[in-house]
Amino acid sequence: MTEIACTSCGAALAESQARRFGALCPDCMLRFAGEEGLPEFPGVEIVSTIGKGGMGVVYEAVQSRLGRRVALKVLSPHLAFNAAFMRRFHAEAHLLARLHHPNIVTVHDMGVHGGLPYILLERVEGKSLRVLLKQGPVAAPRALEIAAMVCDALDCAHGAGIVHRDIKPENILIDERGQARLVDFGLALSANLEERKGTRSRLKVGTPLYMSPEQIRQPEDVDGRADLFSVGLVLLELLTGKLPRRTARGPSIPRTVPARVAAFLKKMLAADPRKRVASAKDARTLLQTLRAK
Amino acid sequence: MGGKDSRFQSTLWEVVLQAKNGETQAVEQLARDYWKPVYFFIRRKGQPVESAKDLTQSFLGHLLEKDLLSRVDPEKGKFRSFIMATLGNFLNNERRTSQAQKRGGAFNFVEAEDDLRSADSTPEKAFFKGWALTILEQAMTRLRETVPPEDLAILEGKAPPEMTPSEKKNRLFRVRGRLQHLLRESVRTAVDREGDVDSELREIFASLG
Repeated sequence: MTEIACTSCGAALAESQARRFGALCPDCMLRFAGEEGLPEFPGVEIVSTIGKGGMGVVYEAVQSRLGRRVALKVLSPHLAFNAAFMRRFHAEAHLLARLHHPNIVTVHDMGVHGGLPYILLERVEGKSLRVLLKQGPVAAPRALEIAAMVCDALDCAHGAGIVHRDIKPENILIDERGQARLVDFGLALSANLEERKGTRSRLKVGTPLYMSPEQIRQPEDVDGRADLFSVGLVLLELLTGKLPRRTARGPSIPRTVPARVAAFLKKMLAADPRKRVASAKDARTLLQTLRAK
Repeated sequence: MGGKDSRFQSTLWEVVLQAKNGETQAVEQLARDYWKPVYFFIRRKGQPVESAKDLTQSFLGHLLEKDLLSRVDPEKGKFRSFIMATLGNFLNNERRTSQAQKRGGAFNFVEAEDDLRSADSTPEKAFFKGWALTILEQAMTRLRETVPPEDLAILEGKAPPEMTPSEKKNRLFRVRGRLQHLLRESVRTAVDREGDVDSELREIFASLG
């Protein structure tokens, strides 16, 4: 029996073990797998972990030269061996780079370091709507104002041919000045043919709870009206504190919702996109009218 | 990688149910996943190699022939504990039967002996180690299929000289992330509830001392 030494602890390793487990003994391999650790990127220092999602991890970091706080988004390491995931991940940075809007998070940079793709984003100091919802429903005037800001952001994105496809309370932050900021364009779909190659993907298609009926059926073939349906659900959740029941006739709107707002929501939540509010711009205008009354 | 490997699509209890109904694939999967912990347990009970081989094969056959799987109840605890308890009873009853019938040579006992050298001395701990190594071996097979050899070489201390320390760190971070994911996938087939996956993994890591 040929004996080899583990390259980590030096323990004798049988030839059959080297073949099955590599140059590390099984214990060292398991130890390696169980280690905690952080990646490293040039020019940034990771401070803490902000959150983990299906596709990646977001860290709070500091850009050393500028002393600027940033959000560092890194593709989940186990996905970083797959070209389709790498493309989709970087598509977010390219799409965001085209959008300049006060209600959309700003992208600073992107790259790959040691095989790990990353995106540097503006660090939004604030709380997500999901966190705010834990305190209960939001007063109607403020809920309408938030929805109007989101629609304004979507008007900009849709105008650039970009459908967000993952509008949900987690992806809408309220910054320290009370402004809504739309984040996470990781699932966005671009109408631009070149970009569409990277953004058309069956890998993951959004959060089913907030999806429009057409997005559930054909996630790769939706337009901006799919986002409006999701905004309608988020608004209803803000007003009532919970997601509505989805019946065959669409989401049910509780009677506690004021009649004018309910009429607007009915148009936002129409199952048939042709019967829905036509554009984010129209939705924003209607929301502003509702707020004025 | 977008779609899951078919091996990882059934939960443990689905596999056990299929095995109860005599589905060959499920029976083979259970044998593949549990032969090594069973063998380790028997060896650490003091049985010599040849006898332990026979007893391992005999026990796995006994488990199916006697329809013992019908006694498995997810409410009563882990399947692994059930196997170990049943194995303890089996060994007590079969102490005199060293002539147990062989049921095929699918188990590589030579490799198992190599692994057993680093396993703990008590039968219970050795059983767990055998199980943990089976999970690791499954994950390593898939790791080699999906990770470039140059990344695995870094793990073995063979990084290209031009690679910066932070690049090396990230390459290892990437391999570790993939290995953790694959271990989780392997463990998932051995537990009933998704919530148990992480605690089982922690138990594996903790068992290293």
